[in-house]
Amino acid sequence: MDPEYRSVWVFLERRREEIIESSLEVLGKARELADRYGDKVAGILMGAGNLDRLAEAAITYGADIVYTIQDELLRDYSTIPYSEALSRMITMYKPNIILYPATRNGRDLAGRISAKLNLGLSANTVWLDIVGDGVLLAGVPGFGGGIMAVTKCLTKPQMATVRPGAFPKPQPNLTRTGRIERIDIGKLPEPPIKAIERVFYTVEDISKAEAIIIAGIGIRENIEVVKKLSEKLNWAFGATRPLSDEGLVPRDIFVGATGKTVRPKIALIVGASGAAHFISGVAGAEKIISINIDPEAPIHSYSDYSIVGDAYKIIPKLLEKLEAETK
Amino acid sequence: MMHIIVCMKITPKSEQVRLDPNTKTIIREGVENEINPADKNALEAALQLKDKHGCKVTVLGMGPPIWESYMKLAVSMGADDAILVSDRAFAGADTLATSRTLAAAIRKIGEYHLIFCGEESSDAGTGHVPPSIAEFLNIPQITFVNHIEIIDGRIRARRVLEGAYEVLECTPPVLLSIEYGCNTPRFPDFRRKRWVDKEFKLRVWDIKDLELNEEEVGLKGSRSIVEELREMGLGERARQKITGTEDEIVAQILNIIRPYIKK
Repeated sequence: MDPEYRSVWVFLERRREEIIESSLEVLGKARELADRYGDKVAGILMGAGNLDRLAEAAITYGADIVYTIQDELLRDYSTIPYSEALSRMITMYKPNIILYPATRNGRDLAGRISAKLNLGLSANTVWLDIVGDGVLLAGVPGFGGGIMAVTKCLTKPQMATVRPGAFPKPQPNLTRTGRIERIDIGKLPEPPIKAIERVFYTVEDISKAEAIIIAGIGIRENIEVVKKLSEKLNWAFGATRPLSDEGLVPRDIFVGATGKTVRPKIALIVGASGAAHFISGVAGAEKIISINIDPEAPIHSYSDYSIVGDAYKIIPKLLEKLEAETK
Repeated sequence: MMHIIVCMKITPKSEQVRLDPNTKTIIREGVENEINPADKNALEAALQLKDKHGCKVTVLGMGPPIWESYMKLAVSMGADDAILVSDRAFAGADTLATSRTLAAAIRKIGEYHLIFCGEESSDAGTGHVPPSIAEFLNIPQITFVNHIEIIDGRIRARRVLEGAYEVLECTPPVLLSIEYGCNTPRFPDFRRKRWVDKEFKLRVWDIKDLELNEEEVGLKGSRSIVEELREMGLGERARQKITGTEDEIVAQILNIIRPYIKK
């Protein structure tokens, strides 16, 4: 192992007073990668108040060390102070690998750090592996999603952003121990951008759903009945990209290479042909049932149970039956 | 008058791209190209500001000569000027080398107030180029923006996050990455298109024009490389067929999904 560049770092992004789930997923994967070549995992946590509670939580999810940086300018994510603080940390400690959740803030930060320190960065990865003595291989979906480019960084630290939902969130181990190190980073630059308003709202994040029903373009004339069925079942509702491109469903519920990755216990897929860029977003499902009228549609071979049939008839009947049961 | 530079990439239509199973290379033949959809939204956002405030809009792309017609298309849609940065040395660039090259071109353009990019490309989908360009130019960035206003020379932008949004304000220069689908890009204007075809001269800059050296750009300037292309393992499935009358099918589906129904 390179004696100079040590440990796997994870950017622990916060949403208000909690570490986001995507960061915990990355932490779980980082633990696995570090164990493969005998290295440590460190979490990077920034904020304005006391961060000990969150740092302790990160330890239960797999961190050996959590570096906390406390500064009023780090209260909410803002590119300039965050990237300045992190790049100072990187220069001081020289980690081997830095992983960021490929959330909007994670990508905003990673892209900035890459240019600041002239470091290679693998983007939006869905697969990570270690070869040799801590060399990171990162799988990036691209070109429709049926194809994965396996990339490698030529510089250290090696960096990657990791797609939310690509790896499962680990189970916390409450007996794990680790240490929290408070870092004095020095004076940070004032952000040139001022926030006038910040609004949080809850959206159902389909990438966390345990059960989902997904509508494809084949059921475009009756998306409503699919949505109703999802409500009846209390399942999440998703769609394929063409429905979103046509504005028939919101953008944040489409599944696929350029959209969400889901890992439900069960997915019922209705009227989707099964193009590789869609399938790559649902490949993590434990069970897939699909309905498509075209016997030649590739979706049938990506399913555990497949039905060659008319979804316009089957779905309303299914809904009817369920409604009759609960009456 | 504000000058907006819109960075544009030309991408293959993603649903048409296939991998050659033998050579593990991408089959580009017969694949249609298009202006990267999010970049089209970025251009539209710039053109809307131009309509309202009288900005100057320049489009900038880095790619092979076949991109020329797409750069001109952007001018037909309403951009005032277009520059294509094109050189064999730029080929094989990762996001870092791409951003460095585009930042050098922006510096050569000189005076600007706003840089617009699409939030990400439809082929690589990294979203890393906009923040890297901003860092190279040493200007602030606001990524994933779906609404922009200019108020007394200040930029006010709504940045959309997962389950949150923030309204941010900043004085130019600033780089904004524009959310895919946040507006409806206009069609090319017929009369403008005629003017473009007859008179418009696209500027094409090479590595010398940008005063970069070969070690900084393209594959040589990249700090991440593609080791190989793999077909993604999409998982083996049981592939059981469910058949019968519609009622029978519904009954079988119910049997399978019943354990997963949350009350």
